[in-house]
Amino acid sequence: MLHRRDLVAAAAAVPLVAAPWAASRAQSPAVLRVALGSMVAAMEPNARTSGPPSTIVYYPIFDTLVATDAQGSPVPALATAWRNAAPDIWELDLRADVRFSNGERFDAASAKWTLDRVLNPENRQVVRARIATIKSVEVTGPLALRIVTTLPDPILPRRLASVFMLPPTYFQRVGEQEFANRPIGTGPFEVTAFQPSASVTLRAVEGSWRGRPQVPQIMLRSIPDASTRVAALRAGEVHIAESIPPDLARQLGQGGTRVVASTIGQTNLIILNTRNPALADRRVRQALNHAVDKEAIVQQLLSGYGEVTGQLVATNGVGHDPAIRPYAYDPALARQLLQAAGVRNLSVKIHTTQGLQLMDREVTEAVAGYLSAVGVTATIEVLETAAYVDAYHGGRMDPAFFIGWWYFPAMDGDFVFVWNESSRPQSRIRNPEFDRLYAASTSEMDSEKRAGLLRQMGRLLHEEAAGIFLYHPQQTFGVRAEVSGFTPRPDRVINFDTIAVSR
Amino acid sequence: MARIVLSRLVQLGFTLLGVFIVLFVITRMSGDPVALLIGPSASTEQIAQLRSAMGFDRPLWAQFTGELLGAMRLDFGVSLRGGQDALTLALGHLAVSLQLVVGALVFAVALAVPVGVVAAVWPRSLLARLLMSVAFIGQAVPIFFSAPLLILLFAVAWHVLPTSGWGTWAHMILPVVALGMVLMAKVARVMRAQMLEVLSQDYIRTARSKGLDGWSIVTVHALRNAMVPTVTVIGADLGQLIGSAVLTESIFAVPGLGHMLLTAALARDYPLLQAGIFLTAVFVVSLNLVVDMLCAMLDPRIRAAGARG
Repeated sequence: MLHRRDLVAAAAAVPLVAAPWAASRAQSPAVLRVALGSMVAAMEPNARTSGPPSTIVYYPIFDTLVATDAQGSPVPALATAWRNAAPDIWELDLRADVRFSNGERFDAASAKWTLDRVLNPENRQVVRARIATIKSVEVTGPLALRIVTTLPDPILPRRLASVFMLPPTYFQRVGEQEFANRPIGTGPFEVTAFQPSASVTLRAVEGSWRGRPQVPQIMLRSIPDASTRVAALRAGEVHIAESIPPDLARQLGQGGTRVVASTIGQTNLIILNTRNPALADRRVRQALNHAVDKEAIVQQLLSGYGEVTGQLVATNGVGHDPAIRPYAYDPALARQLLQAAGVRNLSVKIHTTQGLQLMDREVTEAVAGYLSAVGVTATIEVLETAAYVDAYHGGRMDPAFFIGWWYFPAMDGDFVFVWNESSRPQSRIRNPEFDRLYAASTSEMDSEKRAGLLRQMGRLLHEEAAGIFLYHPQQTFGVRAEVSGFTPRPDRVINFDTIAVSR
Repeated sequence: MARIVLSRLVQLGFTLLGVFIVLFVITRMSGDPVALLIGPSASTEQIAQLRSAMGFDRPLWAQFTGELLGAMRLDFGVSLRGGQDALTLALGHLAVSLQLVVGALVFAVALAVPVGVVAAVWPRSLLARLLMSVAFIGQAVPIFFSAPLLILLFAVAWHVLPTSGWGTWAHMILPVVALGMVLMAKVARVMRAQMLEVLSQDYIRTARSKGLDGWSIVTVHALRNAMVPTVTVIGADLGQLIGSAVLTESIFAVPGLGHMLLTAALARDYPLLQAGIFLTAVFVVSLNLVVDMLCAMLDPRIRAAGARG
């Protein structure tokens, strides 16, 4: 039987014990603290990679065979050299004396094991899509690997930048689930504590081939709310905060914080369905490009964190053509072109998302506004992310949709041009000349000639106005003054090896 | 009492079945996790391959019966994003949510009961008006405003509490206060109304005429009777809170069940979603049971009705 005294007593028991606080703020600078927008739910880097920020978590722990440098070029990682033995055969030399943090040796056999594991559809490895051109992997020496592709694949080394190498002995001993909690890699950091979807603590290991990191410990934690991330940075709880929205970036730049921004391997644009009768005339599509003030959108909606463009690849990727200029903002010309095409009362519905890309809905609304100003009735429809992705892959997007097409970590235009090839259901353009160029590029093993083909494709899509070209977005980090050695990279990982924290 | 427990258990069974069916229909209608998981950079064949490896190409009835049989054995499968057992993952998040919600409840009740009592005993006093105004503000200010304000004041400006995260007492204070304020205001208003009503009853007048002092009338006779509806209100709110504390959890980076459900829904992580909703349903139904039992303890008439009925 409960008495009122018990109730009152229970009600009075307020948690007043504000216990071991003092910990997090006046931390020793030995721990680098980083706030991310989300934290991975499991540490199985090839299975569920859904892009950043999970790659930020994996990069200090794991290595790929080929890495991407700050300029977007492929550089040796666990592979030191690669060459074409035949158009469909790549031979890789692997780095000697590399060990996983548990002591297990990395060699050609373990590399083959990881690649085979990813390639087996039964294992449901999401990264498989990125290296699906591989037919077989052969061990030709203790540190030599031969990769045979189904067709000649000029960008295989860049594709390998997506696959993290795992330790086969340890993995098979503990199993997939245990590995996801206590992962082991060849990187300079190892996991000491992991709370799925919340935080992970890393400790520098001795004798990594990447050298000794500047900071002995890293604490990565998820703070999904952007304003809380900024608050944590300003309060000094974290040294680096990932993904600062433009409106919040203005709060930084004082009080010991700064904003670091850099263009990533991505292009945001409104794809136009060239096969829709209303948009079939190239002049109409060009008119829509001239109608939109890209510069104003970038300045006002993105606080300047973006590069206005007229093509699919920025300067950080293969296939960029400096000769392609953005469509000039010229509403009068836009009206002329529409008139010349004999178009009246054009109405365009633009599909977009909310929060899948930074400011996606807002940018689409602004575009719709500019189109209205030249007499085009533009409406927008916001789709929920899963419905949007489904409609995109099903080729049901019509007549226009906003998208962010990315080509990191490979930093190669192939990853964006591919969506315009006629046989793809996602493609909204049917252009035999483009298809010819694309087919030629996929088997062109001479990298200069291949880059030339990619530039030609870029010019063609620009002239055809296959979309309303907008901008290459920038990633933004909030960084405290105590942090040095931080260089943002176009593949959106953070290179923790070079970062130091001073008091 | 046994009858109450039994009827609640039967209710739990039906609730869970209903929840399962509704959730299955809604999630399958809203698209498939595979395209989302693999991202926009995969070809159609690759999507089809992954879809078949994950079993989403089976006929819907086969998926339904498979999942229902699994759920009856408490096996919801493996989280599509996390790779771990979905129920274990959801239980971990539920534990965090319980700490948050119970903390908020204790905070709310500890403040609301005295406030409600004072406001009812001295309804025209300045103190009563002041307290009820504060309580009213608590209910009127939405969490998406109060929570960032708390962070700016206590973490950024004064550096006395952490902005976000979970694990120590200090991390709990701001989210508990932000969530508790809304509940506190509601409980205080209910408490005040109930006390006013009870204090005007005949038996209180009898107690007064018996010569009992004001304090013991309020605490012994009035408070206990006023608590019955208040406990019911708290119980109903608590059930909602466990799933709807999502805003508080997102702002303060609390790895609770609400935020987990939100991300699982957006990612179409069916196993995790089913496990999380299952736990929420079990929690709400058990909570109703606890509330019923508490009310029976507080009010002999309910006990008697339960015994007869």
